[in-house]
Amino acid sequence: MRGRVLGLVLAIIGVVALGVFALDAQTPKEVVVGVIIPLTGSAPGTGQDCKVGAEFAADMINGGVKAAAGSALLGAGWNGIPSLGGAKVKLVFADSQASPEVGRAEAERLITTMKPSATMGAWHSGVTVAIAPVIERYRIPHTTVSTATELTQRGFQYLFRVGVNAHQGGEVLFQYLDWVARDGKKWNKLGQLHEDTAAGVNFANAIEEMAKARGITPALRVPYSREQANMDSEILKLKSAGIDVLVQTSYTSDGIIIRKTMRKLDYAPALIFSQGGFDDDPKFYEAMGDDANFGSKRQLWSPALSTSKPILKAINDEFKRRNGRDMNDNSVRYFTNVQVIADAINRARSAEPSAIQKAMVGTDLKAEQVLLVHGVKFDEKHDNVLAKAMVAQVLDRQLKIVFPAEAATAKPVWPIPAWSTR
Amino acid sequence: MTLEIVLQSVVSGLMFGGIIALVAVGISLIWGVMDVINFAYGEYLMWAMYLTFFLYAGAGLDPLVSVPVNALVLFAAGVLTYRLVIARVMRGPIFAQLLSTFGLFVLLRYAAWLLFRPDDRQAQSLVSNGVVKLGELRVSTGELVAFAGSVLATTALFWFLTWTKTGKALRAVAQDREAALALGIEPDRLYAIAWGISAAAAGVAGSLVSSFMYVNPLVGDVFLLPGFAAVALGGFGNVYGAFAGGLVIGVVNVTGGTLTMPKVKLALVYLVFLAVLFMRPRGLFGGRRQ
Amino acid sequence: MTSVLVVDDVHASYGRFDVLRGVSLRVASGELVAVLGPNGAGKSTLLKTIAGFLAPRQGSITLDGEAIGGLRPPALLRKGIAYVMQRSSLFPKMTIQENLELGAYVRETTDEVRTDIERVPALFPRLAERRRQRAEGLSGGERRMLEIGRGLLLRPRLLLLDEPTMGLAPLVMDLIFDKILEVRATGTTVVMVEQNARRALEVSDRAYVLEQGQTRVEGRGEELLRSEAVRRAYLGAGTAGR
Repeated sequence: MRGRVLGLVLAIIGVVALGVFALDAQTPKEVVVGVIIPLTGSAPGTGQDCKVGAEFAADMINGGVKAAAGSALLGAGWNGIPSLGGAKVKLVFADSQASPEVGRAEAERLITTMKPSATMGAWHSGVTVAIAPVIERYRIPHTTVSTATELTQRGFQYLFRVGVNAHQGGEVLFQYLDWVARDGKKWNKLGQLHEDTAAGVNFANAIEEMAKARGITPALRVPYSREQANMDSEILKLKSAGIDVLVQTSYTSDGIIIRKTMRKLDYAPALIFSQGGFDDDPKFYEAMGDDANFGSKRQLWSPALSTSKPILKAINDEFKRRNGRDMNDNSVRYFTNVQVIADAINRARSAEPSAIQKAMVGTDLKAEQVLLVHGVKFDEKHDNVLAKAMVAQVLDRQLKIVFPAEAATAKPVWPIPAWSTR
Repeated sequence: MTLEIVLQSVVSGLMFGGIIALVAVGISLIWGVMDVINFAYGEYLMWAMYLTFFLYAGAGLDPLVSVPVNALVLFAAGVLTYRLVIARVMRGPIFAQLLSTFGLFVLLRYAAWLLFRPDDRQAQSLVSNGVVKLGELRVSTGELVAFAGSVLATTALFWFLTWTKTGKALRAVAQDREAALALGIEPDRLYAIAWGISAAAAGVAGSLVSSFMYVNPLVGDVFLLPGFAAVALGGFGNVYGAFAGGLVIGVVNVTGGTLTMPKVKLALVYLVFLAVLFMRPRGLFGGRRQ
Repeated sequence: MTSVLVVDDVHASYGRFDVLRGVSLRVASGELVAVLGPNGAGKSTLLKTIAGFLAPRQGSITLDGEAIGGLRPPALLRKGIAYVMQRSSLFPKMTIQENLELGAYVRETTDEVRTDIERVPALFPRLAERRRQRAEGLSGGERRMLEIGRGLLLRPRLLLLDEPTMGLAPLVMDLIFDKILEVRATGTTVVMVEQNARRALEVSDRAYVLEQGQTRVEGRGEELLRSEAVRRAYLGAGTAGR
């Protein structure tokens, strides 16, 4: 009789113990999130910005950023993912080397070895297009800020675009042109100069479509390969055609060569509008000095917005303290990427990729909850319907918002002054 | 399209062509002397650019100052390449010779990728940022110095070939190897010298362009095809023709691109290359040997 | 007599083909020796072997008593053996002057060499005026003269001539033979392979006849000229119409 009671007690203890362990197993201590970015290659400065932006967000979500306390930012005041018992977000990085082939191989390697719950990347549209099928095959929910239109036109279920797509990014250009026209500024010909991978081609296509829809005939389109050294024909062609509104997509090295060639050949259009890339990279400003001035770009963030969002100043200051520079479009976008993923994990109450994907479809973040100027809500193609951009111009070697008026911190300089006067 | 724009494109093309010309001379020398096509030539140039960059990053050496350093180091590399690789495959079939330089190309490129990472790097020079005005025409100081440097280097090479004993021996070996041997000229030694000089030319070119070009493991591509097109245009093995061919290709590239569409400028170079090969394989200046 | 050159039972092959199967000859200082024989006898191969383009498989070659079998041309040139090939061996795109200069390649460039280069065209006046002209513009006879002149720039101990009059018109042939005699008169030892057997025998001191890679006949020039057997066997083709 005593033996049976003992046996029963032991059995109960065993079951309870098993239960405790099982519970622990279901609640993970950490959630792995993969980040595929160009840490080396033609834009390492950019990759570094994305990295520190993502790390900053992860740190905030894990409870390490006091400056965020009390704000509406998603993840502020958290101490790990709440619904998972405070499981910490752990970022693992893979280097795309700015190459689609390497990016794809690295994405696959990261997914199969680290088994992330979600991923983000790859900044270069061309690389994102290459890794998208891999993501889809392994069914890992993935956020991206790449603008290439095709990313949301191929029916990917697991890819979500957090930032503007090519059309949303280009839209602001036309709004800006209308706005300066009301000020009496005139221009004649719209032309495009773009690198020939997904980012440049998609944006140029979108601009063409939108221009034609507004009755503007694009006068000239000059694609170029980034591997070449000499941009003289490109700039001469634009100059010869009298292009005064120039839409440009370039990465850092080609951006530098182009600007230098413009100076050499004395070509200064009234407006240079870039979708971002070279002019987000600190290296460009270092290399060009004053010659970087007066270019404009599609801008998604500005610390100056802190008048409307005071928390932005505190966050930016903390970032600056940690990293020695202000946040920019890249660090902000990757910060937001992490927020969107953390939000989905939290609502899914699970670290399982498929559960996270379902939750991510229903993302509904207001502008106050993220660092970008707009909120995040996905349509059926997984574009962010709330995404919009501003226009910034480089003045005194710094990017300042010039449009829309409510967010502007400076008046635009139109036209770009002739090189001889600079 | 005004005359001014066209003239500017010709001048810009000539500047670019100056470097292509130096590359073409380097390739053509080997082809003329020993009938070997060096597919790895662009990679020597790339390594020379890295050498220049590291001398700049590590010791603050202006790329122009590293011209002689590059020339010496690459000369040694060329001789080494000949002795370790080329000398052996020359005894084999033509196929082995082609494959060996192609193998070198792969080796050099991917070694650079592994060692240096794919980032773009650039050295800065005194002449990196200026612009020189020749009337209404404009060239950057970097390009102008590179052009002048290329002309100087090529002139030095031509002087060497024409007036020195070793230079004449080199030309003799190129024209008739056996007859040269019968006069006591050792072909093997001259082949090594030719490889050294050819690589040194790549070294000089690498230094000169470093003041205005980025280096990454793929930069050899910028020069290799135009270089070969220039060699074909000038008549394979004709070193003087190769120089002229380089200038022509530079102009075809830039002016052609400006007059038509910049995107096709490389295709125009290909076209010229193919046209020469099919229609006038002897090149504009004819002659199989120099 | 002091032998400059001794070839002793030399065998040589091109790959699997045995061309020389035991050739022996000796040449005295200052002699003009002709090597004759039908096509394929191995005459050119013999000269090539002496000049270092081919290594003997068997047998020995000595120059002034020193063994030289197996040495390569550059070394032999330094020992004073100059070799004028059967085929045209000028550098076509180089000038006459440059071709001559290369003849003295193995010598240190001294004033002596410069004087020699000046002197050679004197031996061949037709070349003197056209020093700056490219070699490819020369006629057959002029080429031969230049090649021989170039060979002389070495101040050779021994001059090897492989068919110096081949393909030349009869008048030009005479000119060449005259020049060869002039060269011999300066004290240079000459070994000459010739197709034109009669003329060769007329000018040489001694001659050897090779057949199938072996020495068949040896003798003084006039003797062989007068010999019935030799005449019938070897002089038929070269003597028609003379």
